[in-house]
Amino acid sequence: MKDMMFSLMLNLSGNMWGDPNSRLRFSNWHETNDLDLDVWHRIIDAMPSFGFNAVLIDVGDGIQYDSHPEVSIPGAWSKEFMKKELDHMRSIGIKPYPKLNFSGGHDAWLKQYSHMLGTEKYRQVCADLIKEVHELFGSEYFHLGMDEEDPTNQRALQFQCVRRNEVFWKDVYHLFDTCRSLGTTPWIWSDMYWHRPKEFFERMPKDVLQCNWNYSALAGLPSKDHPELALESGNDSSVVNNPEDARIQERAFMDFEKAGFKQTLCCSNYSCFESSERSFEYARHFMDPEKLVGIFTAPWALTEKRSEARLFDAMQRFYKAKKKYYPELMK
Amino acid sequence: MEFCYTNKKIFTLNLTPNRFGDPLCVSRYRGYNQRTLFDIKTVETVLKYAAEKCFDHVLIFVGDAYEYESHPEIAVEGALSKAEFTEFLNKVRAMGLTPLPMLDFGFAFDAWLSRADIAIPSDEYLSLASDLIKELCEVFDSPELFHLGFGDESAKTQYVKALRRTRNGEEWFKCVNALCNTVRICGSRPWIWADNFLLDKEAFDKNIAKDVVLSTQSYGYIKRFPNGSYRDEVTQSAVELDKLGYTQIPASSISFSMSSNALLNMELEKFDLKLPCLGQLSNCLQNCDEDSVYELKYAVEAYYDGICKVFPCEKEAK
Repeated sequence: MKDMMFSLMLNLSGNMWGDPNSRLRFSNWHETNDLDLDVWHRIIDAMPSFGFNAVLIDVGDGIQYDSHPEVSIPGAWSKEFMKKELDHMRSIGIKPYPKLNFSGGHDAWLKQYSHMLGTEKYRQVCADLIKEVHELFGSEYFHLGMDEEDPTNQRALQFQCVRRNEVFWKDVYHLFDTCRSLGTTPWIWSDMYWHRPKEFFERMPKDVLQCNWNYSALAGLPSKDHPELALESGNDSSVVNNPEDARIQERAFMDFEKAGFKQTLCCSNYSCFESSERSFEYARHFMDPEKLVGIFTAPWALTEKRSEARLFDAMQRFYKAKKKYYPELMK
Repeated sequence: MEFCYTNKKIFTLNLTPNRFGDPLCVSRYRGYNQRTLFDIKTVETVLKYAAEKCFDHVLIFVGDAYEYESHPEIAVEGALSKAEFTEFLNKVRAMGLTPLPMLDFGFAFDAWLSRADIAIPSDEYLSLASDLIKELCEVFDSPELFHLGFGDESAKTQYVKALRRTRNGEEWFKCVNALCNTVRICGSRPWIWADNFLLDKEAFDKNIAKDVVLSTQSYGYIKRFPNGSYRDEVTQSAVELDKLGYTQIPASSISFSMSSNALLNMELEKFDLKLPCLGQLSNCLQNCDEDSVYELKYAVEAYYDGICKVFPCEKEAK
């Protein structure tokens, strides 16, 4: 079996949610870079022993940009420091991938530019930041975010912005083109498909790596190891007895594969502790390995002391699931 | 000390693996086990970590992980003998944690009773339950509190079980009160889940004595309406129970992956309950095995984070 990407998502920046003065209590705006470097190092250094070979880093405003220093948060890492960290990761067998989330719902880190979506200036700034980050990472894939750009997910923000139709696609195509011109493949969260499936399939280029995140026990999808899944899941509102009737959030895995997209699966210990095992099981038994680039876990916890156990818990669940379903890829 | 909270800070330790699934159940993760699953080294690591952070009590769900002298048929393989358990409790005390016993007699969480070949409920059942309570009261050396469980036993909460049973109305109150009396006779104070208050508030108030300590199980993202009342009926029930004069220990959990749940339950105590609470319970549903050490530490961290933020010493002093 060919090797795959087995990745953890880590936050360098915490400003993907609440904007200044927003009413979000637990995903609030950060005035400075609050990352705990000791926790960061403990996580990174432990990753190989948990079966990871990659890390997806949510960079945001966490580095000092040359082109737009006004975006960087006080305490942001210098590029030299970032480069040293990335070199260290590579030296222990962890391939770093960057993420800059350009969704209107998760771009507080862009500061004033998050109020300029749909403009030429915005597109230029985005391209500049992508270029700078790619210079550091030089990776095969570049995650552009693009999830949850809807009113519900921005209800607590001071500034809400949802792009539709041409405004949306013009910005997104520009991000994709920027990545392509740098020789890196654009990679996005795919949840727009849940809400506008027809438009998504008609307009989403096939070379864009998809990530249909799902943090549940995937009770609506078939299972070889747990044929009783539907029976047991009387408590799970997502359960359906006929896989054809699975919710679009789950069915999307099959839909993307049929439509010819390459994809990554993202699990988490954020809302269901069974998510990793079920994601791995589904990937191994039901997905075309040629179209599955990798699996990653997103604990959705900032890199800080109080979240360290949660991050390790995510790694532990991922490790157990990988060992069970991809034993030949354990090193 | 980064917090000023003098009430009980209680961590849950599940020694029995048999809470959810009965022997014939169909379950991926919550099936019945013929032996205990806890790893004693992990138990000690986690409890030490909990004690160092902030906890001063540990609620031990014993179930079938103990060799009862009165009913040896209940114990599963790996259960601790009286001597082993006594030694363990002494270790726990040496860590700075006061152990409190728990036997959950709610039908949704009593898979540990599966080896007791008796009709449930019946007089024989109550007699057996009383025997077990008395034995644990003795081995725990007359604990201040004894948790009897008795949470929501609807079909919904028994979804993994092959056999789903529910006691309604008088039958439920009869069982609860009989076992609460046994606890009182032992010199301890009975403690139960407050779930059934929501089924019939009036009957609950009429039938459950005020000395029974109650724990609401509000494990999600606790939100309020603009008028200040809670959006979910479970959290709101804590406010109502407070008005009725019940003493409470709000329970929080990370088992539904809500890392701020403990903090929110502490705010409930601080801002909305007029009567003093006896403490705050962290109820992580996980077994204490080697694979769960990070999850259990995560439970400790989430609780510690909440208590430092909701009950900080400096702000209290001002």
